[in-house]
Amino acid sequence: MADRSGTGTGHGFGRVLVFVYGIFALAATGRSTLQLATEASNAPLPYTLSALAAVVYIVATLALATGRRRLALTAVGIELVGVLVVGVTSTLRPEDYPDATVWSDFGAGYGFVPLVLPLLGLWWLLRGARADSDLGR
Amino acid sequence: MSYLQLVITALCLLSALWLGVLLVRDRTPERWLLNVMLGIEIMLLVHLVVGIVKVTDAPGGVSDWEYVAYLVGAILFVPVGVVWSSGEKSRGGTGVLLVAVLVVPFMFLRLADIWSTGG
Repeated sequence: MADRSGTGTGHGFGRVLVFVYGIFALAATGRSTLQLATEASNAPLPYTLSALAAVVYIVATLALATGRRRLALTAVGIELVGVLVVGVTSTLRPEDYPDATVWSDFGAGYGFVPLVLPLLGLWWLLRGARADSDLGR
Repeated sequence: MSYLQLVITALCLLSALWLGVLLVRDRTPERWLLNVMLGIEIMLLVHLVVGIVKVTDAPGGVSDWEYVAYLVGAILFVPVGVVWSSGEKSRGGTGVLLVAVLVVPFMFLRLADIWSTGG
């Protein structure tokens, strides 16, 4: 696990970030599996979004853990757009969301962690990128 | 909340408090704290069994699969957190354990939600 230098995305604070992303990967995958298995036709929009969120969290977790910075940035970027778009639309048009997704109401059901997480992720990835270029990489 | 959940929650919050102190002082957890976390995990396994027995007798409308999913989820965080933090002897590792013990009480809240709203 101590594969690379201390500047890898999965070390230091990144260690905590990977763990939290892993928890959300598990939560979103579980929720989405349960929704698709039991009542897929009832609310296609939120269920599709739950599945999308699950994929994004899984990719972000793996990319951060293995130090794939560009892939991690892409996943975290999609995550930020997702939580903002779903947050706004679920507030304005709640009738489109008969069942909750991880990102509904800006992640209020999860203590707003889904809103804070991509911001922390972007900060960590961009900060690390700067540190790497300072080292003349 | 059941008595078991209250005891586990109290141990989790005390562990979280101490992990916060360690985080500020930039120390890694002591042996005894890991033993407390082992105790938490054993109680979570009992909690899983008790929960599964309880859900077989659940009132109508309780989403039993979701309930069991949260019961199983609750046992994962502490051991995975300990393994994941063991590769990092620094603040990062201590932070992982802090997150792990804080997630457990949150799972109890979700379990209570699922039970009371019937899904």
